[in-house]
Amino acid sequence: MKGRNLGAKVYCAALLAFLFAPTATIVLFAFESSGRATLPYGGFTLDWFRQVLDDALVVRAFRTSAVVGLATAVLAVVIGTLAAYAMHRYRSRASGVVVSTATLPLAFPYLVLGISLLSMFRVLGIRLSTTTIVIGHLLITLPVVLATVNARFASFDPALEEASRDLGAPPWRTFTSVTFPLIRPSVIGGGLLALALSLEEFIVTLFTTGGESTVPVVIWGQMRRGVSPTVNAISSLLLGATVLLVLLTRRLTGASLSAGRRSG
Amino acid sequence: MSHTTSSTSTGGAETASYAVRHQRVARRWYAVGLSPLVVFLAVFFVTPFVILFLYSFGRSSIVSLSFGTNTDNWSTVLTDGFYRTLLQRSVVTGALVGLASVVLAFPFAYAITLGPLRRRAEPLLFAVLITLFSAYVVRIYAWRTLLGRNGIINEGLDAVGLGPYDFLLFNHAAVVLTLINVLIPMAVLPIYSSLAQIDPALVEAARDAGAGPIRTLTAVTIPLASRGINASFALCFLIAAGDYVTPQFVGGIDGQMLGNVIAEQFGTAFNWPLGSALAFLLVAAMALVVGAWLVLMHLVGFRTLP
Repeated sequence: MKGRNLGAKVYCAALLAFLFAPTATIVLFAFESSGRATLPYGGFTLDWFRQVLDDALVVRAFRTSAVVGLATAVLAVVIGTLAAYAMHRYRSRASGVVVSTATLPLAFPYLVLGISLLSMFRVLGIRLSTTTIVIGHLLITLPVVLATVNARFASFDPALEEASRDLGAPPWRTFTSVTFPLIRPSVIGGGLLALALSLEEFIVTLFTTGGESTVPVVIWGQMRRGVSPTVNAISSLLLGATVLLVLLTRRLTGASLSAGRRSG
Repeated sequence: MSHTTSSTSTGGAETASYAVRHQRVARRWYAVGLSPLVVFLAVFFVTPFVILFLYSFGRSSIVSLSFGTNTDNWSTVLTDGFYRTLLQRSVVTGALVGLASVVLAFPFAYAITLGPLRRRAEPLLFAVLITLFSAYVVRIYAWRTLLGRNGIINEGLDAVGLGPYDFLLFNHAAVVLTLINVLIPMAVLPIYSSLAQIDPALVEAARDAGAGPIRTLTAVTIPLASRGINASFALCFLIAAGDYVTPQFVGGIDGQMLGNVIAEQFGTAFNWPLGSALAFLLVAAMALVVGAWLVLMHLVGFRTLP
């Protein structure tokens, strides 16, 4: 039994080390003075971050990413929650079809989603902009929000809403003082996950971006020009932002993060 | 509502009409609540797909694109050996990555659900979630730095008097390694959820009935977790087979996949009709592989076909 325990620990530690090694290296070398991701590790420096934050292009990319991420999160939450609530209130066979269709984008290569959106924007003469980026991001974040909120409704005690109605509360009042407080953690959790997904999304963005680039697109552009220490710094900032978001999601919603993923 | 059927009381008819009206109102609100999602999907998911399909019958010149009834793109795509080779590589890479990710993720998911680390499930799963949300571009970039001529691995080898080895980067193996690393977190979650739903008593019962650890695993645990295993494989396969950024940055010439050619048609090559025919070829091949996997698993005795 002892041996099995040790074996499991070693395996899990090794797997996590494998998963974290690449990004940890990037972060480590973002603070390294020689500017080359090679050993031995030179001195500690913040120069790369200073250089990155002085770069107007990078700062703008962070602003664009933030705007796109927030717009995506808010819209995904509003559209997703509304749909989940409708499906909770009224049972219909149509719901299954809608949920499957909404989940389908996740089964397609993002490349195909990107080029199909690009094709339509071209046919309709829609100019690529931050709005078109948000549309692409909604396509892949809506299923996540929908799954998270649906999972909450599935474990929801309908007696609470009935009690509120029986006590004479009008539908709106029942929603604001009973239903919404109960689903709030999942709504917030879903929104934060949508924000995190939007911040890191890259392939769909590449095909739907107009003049303004998001952070991953800027990283990609610099990568094509070769390995440079500033890429490490931008990458570290982006990783920091997403880790912070995932931490925040866990903090705000507690166990519902894994609960949402579990049924999703 | 149940009271609508019994109209013994004097107000029965009234209640019934109230219920009918209530039902109608409920249906109307249902439609209102769902419509933003339905409209969004119709306009930005279904329509673009149809348009992309129509493009595959179109023509392109240097500056313009047109729709039409041109089947040349399809005959090129279906007969040209170059595309067949790339399609094969995409599918093989996807299957390899999917399989490896599932095999590597399963012991981890098992350890934190039914295994000895179940008490630490929460932080361990959270660690995996963090890697899942770490930007994909950054992780690919990281592998390029790690495996490069001046990368850490070669520097380390140099320190012990070996290398540098150029063959670490820019080949098919580098693509597979990077994709496995990127997709393991994706494989952990579905397997974890299905294992977490298994009642540990079932596993214990198998052991008590005299089944060895391997027999318990193949006869009880894996069949019960098959839904999650299949979801993991399908997800990883689809993402890996459809990827083109990893091959672009760590693949070199012999690591290129069909996705690279598709992206190229929508970029510098500017031949959208050919690109969209290739895209549908890729999607069809993927659907075939996932279907084949599900049938195979079913035949092996792991229930799941929904």
